[in-house]
Amino acid sequence: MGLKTGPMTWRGFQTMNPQIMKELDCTKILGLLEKNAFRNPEVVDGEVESHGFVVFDEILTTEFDANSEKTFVGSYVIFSYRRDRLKLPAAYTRALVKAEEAQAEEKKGSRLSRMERTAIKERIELMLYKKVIPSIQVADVAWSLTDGTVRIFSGSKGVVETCAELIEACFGVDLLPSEPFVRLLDENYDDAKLLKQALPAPIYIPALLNAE
Amino acid sequence: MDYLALKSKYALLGRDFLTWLYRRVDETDGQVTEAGKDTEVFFDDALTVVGEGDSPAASTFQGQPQSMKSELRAALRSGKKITRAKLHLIRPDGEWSFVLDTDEWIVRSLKVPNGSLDGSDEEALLLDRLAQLEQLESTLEQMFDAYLKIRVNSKAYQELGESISAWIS
Repeated sequence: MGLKTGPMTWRGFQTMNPQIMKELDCTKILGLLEKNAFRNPEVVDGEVESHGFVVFDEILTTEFDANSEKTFVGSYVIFSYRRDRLKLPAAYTRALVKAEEAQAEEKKGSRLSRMERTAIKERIELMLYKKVIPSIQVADVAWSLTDGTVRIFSGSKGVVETCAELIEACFGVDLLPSEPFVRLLDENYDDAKLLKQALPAPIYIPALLNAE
Repeated sequence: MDYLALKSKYALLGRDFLTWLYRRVDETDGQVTEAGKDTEVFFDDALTVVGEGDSPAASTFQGQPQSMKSELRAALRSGKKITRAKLHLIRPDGEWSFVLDTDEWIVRSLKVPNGSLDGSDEEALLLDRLAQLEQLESTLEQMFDAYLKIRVNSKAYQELGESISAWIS
């Protein structure tokens, strides 16, 4: 799926803010990437997912400044997007909570209150979240500084969407997906004209066959 | 721009394009002039058609292009349109194989020709892969623009509809 090796899957976007693009220089880009770099979820604060940017093809590296040669390739800015999710094995968690509750009830000599049960569940979950290996999704990003095209390399719709949102928030740009109707805007159609219905109704083959 | 309103209004544009392309490939035996000089386009062994409406029925065809032809034509006759297809592009400098998902214009699983680069120069390798995908995008845009010229012209589009129904019946 990625940019470096193997078959490539990507979705293209167009940057809609040429002025912001002009103002972005290498130092600013590296600074913004570093500001929005990936960090591990803060489990103690209840975070079970986290996302951010990492150096291209290095999911553990977020020092963009020290890796600028990997980030600026020709006229492209290249980096990767990483999204981590912590997920507990449900059956194992339930079994641990149940065992802990039984042990606490035996110690107490009576049934546990709802609050006590909740406290046990939260303690077990926190202990497991600290140990669990995250599920990691990665998408490579290639941003052409020449024409403003952003390509996000991933087959996951969700990853592409959250990555595009983070790019928008990080650089203060608007990304327009390169979808078929967008080509109409290049054909001298503006969006007001398009909203009014500029094109003839689409062909419906059964109706045409019946008319023959 | 009201992206969502425009997207819903012109959602079928991509499907209409692939259906047009399928017919062009069929009638020219892959020599689609709109793809550029010395470029051949073929539909490969996987294709999805979708009907219209809020929860449309979809059918996926897999197998040799020739063997799926009659069933695919029957699906098109019933009003379904091609929404996703595995395509093959042949040019003098190599062959590209990929799946085009037209609703969101996503290129999937693009296999590019192996260049002469040995992999030791990572930057050159990346730039080569990016150049190849840009070349593919440009070819797709060229074909889509050719379709769009017909699509925006009422008379030309009506003639296209008539020729498609004659071809398919």
